[in-house]
Amino acid sequence: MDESDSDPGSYPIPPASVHLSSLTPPPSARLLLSRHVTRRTRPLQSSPPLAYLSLQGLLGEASSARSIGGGGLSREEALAWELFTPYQRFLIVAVIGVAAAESKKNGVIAQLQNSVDLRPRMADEVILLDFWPSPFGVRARIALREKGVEFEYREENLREKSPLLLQMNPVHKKIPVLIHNGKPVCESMNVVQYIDEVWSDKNPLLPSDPYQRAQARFWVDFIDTKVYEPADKIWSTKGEVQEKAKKEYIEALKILESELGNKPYFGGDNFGFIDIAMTGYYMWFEASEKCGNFSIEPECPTLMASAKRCLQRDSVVNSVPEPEKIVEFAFKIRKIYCV
Amino acid sequence: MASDEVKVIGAWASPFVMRPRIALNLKSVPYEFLQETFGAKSELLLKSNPVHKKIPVLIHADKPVCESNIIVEYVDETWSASGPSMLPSTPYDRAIARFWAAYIDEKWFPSLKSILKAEGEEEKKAVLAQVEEGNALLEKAFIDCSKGKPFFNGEHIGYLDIAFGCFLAWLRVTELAGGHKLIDEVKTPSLSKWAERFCNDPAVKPVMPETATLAEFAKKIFAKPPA
Repeated sequence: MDESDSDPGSYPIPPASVHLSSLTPPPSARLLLSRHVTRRTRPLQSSPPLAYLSLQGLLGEASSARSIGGGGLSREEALAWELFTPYQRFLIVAVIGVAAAESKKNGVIAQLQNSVDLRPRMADEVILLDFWPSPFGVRARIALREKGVEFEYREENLREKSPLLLQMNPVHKKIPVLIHNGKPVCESMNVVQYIDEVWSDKNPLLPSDPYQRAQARFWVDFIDTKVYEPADKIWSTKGEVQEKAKKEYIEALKILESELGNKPYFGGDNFGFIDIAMTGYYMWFEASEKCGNFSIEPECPTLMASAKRCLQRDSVVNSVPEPEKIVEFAFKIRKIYCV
Repeated sequence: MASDEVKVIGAWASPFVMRPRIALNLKSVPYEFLQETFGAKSELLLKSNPVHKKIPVLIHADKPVCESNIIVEYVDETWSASGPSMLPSTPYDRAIARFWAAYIDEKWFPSLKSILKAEGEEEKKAVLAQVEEGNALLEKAFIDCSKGKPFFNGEHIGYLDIAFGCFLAWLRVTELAGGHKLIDEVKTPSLSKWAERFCNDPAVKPVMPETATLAEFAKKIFAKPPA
């Protein structure tokens, strides 16, 4: 947009938008007039009401040739203008005014549409407070990548939590925390649901049918109670406590496997809510097996096949750490907890 | 049998069972209440919730939905045209409602329960402090969520009101037993007023047990030796 003059209330208007066939001015006057109605101005700074069209200024000066075009007409143009009766001049100015307002309004609508389209890419600030081996944090990373959302990943040292984490999740002081335009969302599956609802235009993570949604939520709740508790004990305990945990863990995985059935994903043909929840545990499978000295695949072959499928997805590949790093981390932590 | 018949398997004293019943009442959905016998689980319950074998279970057109808060969302989504929405309209406010509902179930209610089970003054004092801390958080949450309106959900009772309000009868029983007020006009003025509004709501009143009846029941079940 040219910023050539100091008229902040206008928008460039295309020339020759008015037909004057119902009046009968000389053809030369019509051409000259329409050319001089174009004004190049700065874009709209605010959104004044456009439904109301002020003809005051225009009408008051409609009789004066000098006022037209913001600087007067040439001699020939002035002469042409004088050929119109005052009533004709009034009609011409009114019609041009309405056309200009329409054009201005359409221009504003186009401008607003552009800014709305641009907003997700420009105005959204998405920060994720996370911890790299966390099976909960990874869920948020995967969901954001499934939706193609740009975000800033911030690594938290859980032994020395940042002031931002303590401020954004004062109740639990845990990761992940998604901070979207300054507002925090906590609890991993809450974060995933939030991401699904905000960036709803692609890759739906929850089904649309209420019954299927209830099922998805049920199984995620199952995962976060019946899989989480024994999984946690497998790497942090030993002896009888660990043996019991291994049994409970496999039992829970078997129940999940029967829910999975023959489907490639829990979500059916599509990777979804339950799969995202489980991927946090899939990425820990190797570490759990090594800590507990057992093997999951012979017990749950179809679940393992689905796990491998999930671990190959782009959003997952870009979100999960290498399995060896998780194993290394697990053993380091195990030394501390398993005295 | 009508194909869209609704049944709720539950028990009158369970706060979790109250949740789907309040939700169905708010949406004016008729349902059959199947009362479980305390201490013995019915065939239908075991068949409908084989994973957890717990109440409540909602059965809609022969399909079971389990877990109380999940049932409330299901009711809200299925009968969305039959009443105001039980969850806020923005994704952020919905995330906040779900956050507090999870907090209530995972932290607040377990600490409330442990007041009744606490042995000795020291332990009682400690758990009371926990509950009061939780109440202070929830008082602030109410102010933030309600934005000046009567309920957590705004003008009408919603998901979070139900998630918290279902515990009010048990809260009163605990207050009686301990001789200690937990939600009152001094410590939690907003929650105190909200509690009265909630309990008097026509969708809640029919399913909220009387404090005295519940206190009797509590004496009975807490008198039993541990299973």
